[in-house]
Amino acid sequence: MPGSAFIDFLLLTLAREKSKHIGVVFISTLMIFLLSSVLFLSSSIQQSLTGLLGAQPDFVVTRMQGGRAVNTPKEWIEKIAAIEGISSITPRIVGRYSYYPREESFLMVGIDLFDEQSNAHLKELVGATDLRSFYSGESLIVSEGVRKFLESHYYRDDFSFKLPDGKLKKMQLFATLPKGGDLIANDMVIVSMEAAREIFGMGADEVSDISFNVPNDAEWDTIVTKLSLLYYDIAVTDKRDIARAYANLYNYKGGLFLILYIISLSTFMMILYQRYSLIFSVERRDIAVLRAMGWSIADVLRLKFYEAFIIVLGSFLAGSLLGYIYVFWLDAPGLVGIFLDSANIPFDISFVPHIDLGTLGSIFLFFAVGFLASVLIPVWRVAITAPKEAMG
Amino acid sequence: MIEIEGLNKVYNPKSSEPLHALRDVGLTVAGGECVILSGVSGSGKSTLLSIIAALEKPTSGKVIVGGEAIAKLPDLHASHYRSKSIGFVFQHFGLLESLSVEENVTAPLANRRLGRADIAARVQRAMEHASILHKAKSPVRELSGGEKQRCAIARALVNEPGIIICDEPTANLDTANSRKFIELLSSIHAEGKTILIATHDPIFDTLPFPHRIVRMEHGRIVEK
Ligand SMILES: Nc1ncnc2c1ncn2[C@@H]1O[C@H](COP(=O)(O)OP(=O)(O)O)[C@@H](O)[C@H]1O
Ligand SMILES: [Mg+2]
Repeated sequence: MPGSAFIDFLLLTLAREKSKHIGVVFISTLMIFLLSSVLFLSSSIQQSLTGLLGAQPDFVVTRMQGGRAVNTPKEWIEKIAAIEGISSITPRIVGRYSYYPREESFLMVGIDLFDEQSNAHLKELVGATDLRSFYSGESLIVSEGVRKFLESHYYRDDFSFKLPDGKLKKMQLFATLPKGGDLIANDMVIVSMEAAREIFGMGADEVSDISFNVPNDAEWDTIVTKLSLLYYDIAVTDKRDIARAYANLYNYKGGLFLILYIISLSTFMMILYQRYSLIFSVERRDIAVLRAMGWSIADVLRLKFYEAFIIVLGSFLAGSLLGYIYVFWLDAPGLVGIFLDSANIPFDISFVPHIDLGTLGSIFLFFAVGFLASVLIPVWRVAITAPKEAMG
Repeated sequence: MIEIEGLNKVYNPKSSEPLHALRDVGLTVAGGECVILSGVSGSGKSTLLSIIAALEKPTSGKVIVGGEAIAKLPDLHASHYRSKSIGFVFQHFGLLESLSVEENVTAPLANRRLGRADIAARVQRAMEHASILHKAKSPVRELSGGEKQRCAIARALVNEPGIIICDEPTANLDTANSRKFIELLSSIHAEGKTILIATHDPIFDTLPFPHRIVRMEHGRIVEK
């Protein structure tokens, strides 16, 4: 640990030479801000995705005709339920309801709240819902994003859906989904199965698809085979397919950002290195003077090390704090569109704070080591030359 | 006591034209003595002083200061030796421009493990000694040339070294300030400090206290 006299002197010179450091602090803070925003955003998204995937049913099957998913007969349920190892089988009515004439659409999910839910989020929701009052009228449960959207269009208590026959169906806003799985379920509207069937114009013996769980992983492949033997026109999607699709997408975008970041970081380090290599003659002279006053090379390096470290730490804290505010308080305006296909997210999103400390720590290390090296190597080269300049 | 024997300094020894800044220099300076190194610019005065201060290593030769051989000290020991034994006064004063007088005088103590009160007392004493106490809080960039030099002298004295080294101390001073400097030098000499001055200012030919003039030419001592 440096002595108190050294710390006093360090703080003194830092305070007196603020203007010298301001540019570097500004750029460092900006870089950390950008990187940490991307990081916070992507880890929040990935967290939501993982949470969402975890909650998804293991399998979803639907009928295919001519390569197109069509309504699935309800009677499939019995035969599928008869297969060994399948549990929580749930018929689903899902579809996008377009809010005409605008381009927005809701993800409408019709569920039977009395059924056992294969989706963990829905299971939780059903547990927390007063079923009697939900079924006492035409009720809607909406996500936070949909609620905000409706509110901005002056629908505070109810909303009218247009039916296939042109009539309107008025439904009461019953509850808002808890934040959490927010991102994906952001445009979700939950209604009773009957209401969904009516809105989509489906027959009473039809559903959109059928979902179920297979608790024993080892049976997953045999289950797929058994299903395709059961119906020639069945399409089976399992959770792993979705996980793979998500992972590909985010690895691709994350990688792109990492490359951009590395390029800008190395440019910055190069500029720093040059700045300190051509250290202004004043600074060279000051180092020489300190050396002549009895400072060792190590003392000079220590001074510059702490100076640079304070700058690094300050910029890092400021930058990541700004990033946090930008992403989690302001919901990352501008950046969201790059990370999420905006077509899928028509409503305001808010991100659930989730911070990947490991990644944040390695960014700090990476940044700090680069920064310190870019400063200290040139300073060291000045410090080891005989400080004759001080004498001229 | 400083004892120098067979001292050589060659710059760029491996190049096609190596530069002999010092050739076979021998010099003994007794404790408390004042030695004026005179000679034209380029004759090797600064090089000799910086070797005595262990800021540079000689190519060959012996340099013994206070019984300690300092020619080949590693950096850590050399700095410690400088901090303990040498006070420097530069031609351009070498002050840290963004700091005040007091803060400049603190600099040579900042790398040492001293308490705040101890440091304050030493700084006070040194500023008083160099008659710059009245400007303690002034930023050095607002000082006159003479005041700057007194600040530099206070800084050179703050570690209470036995040897004071001045390189062209009057080159940036007018006659009046040069005289004041010599007065100050005289009081430092009276305390028994060893003083080494490199200069080509004729004002040092007649000093009001005992001193010795050593003339240098082309890296050699030609007259003691
Ligand atoms: N670091 C150095 N590298 C190369 N040559 C130097 C260096 N320092 C001094 N010299 C040369 O050594 C000679 C003596 O210089 P110096 O000791 O500064 O003389 P003085 O102080 O008497 O003017 C000069 O020719 C100068 O150019
Ligand atoms: Mg010189």
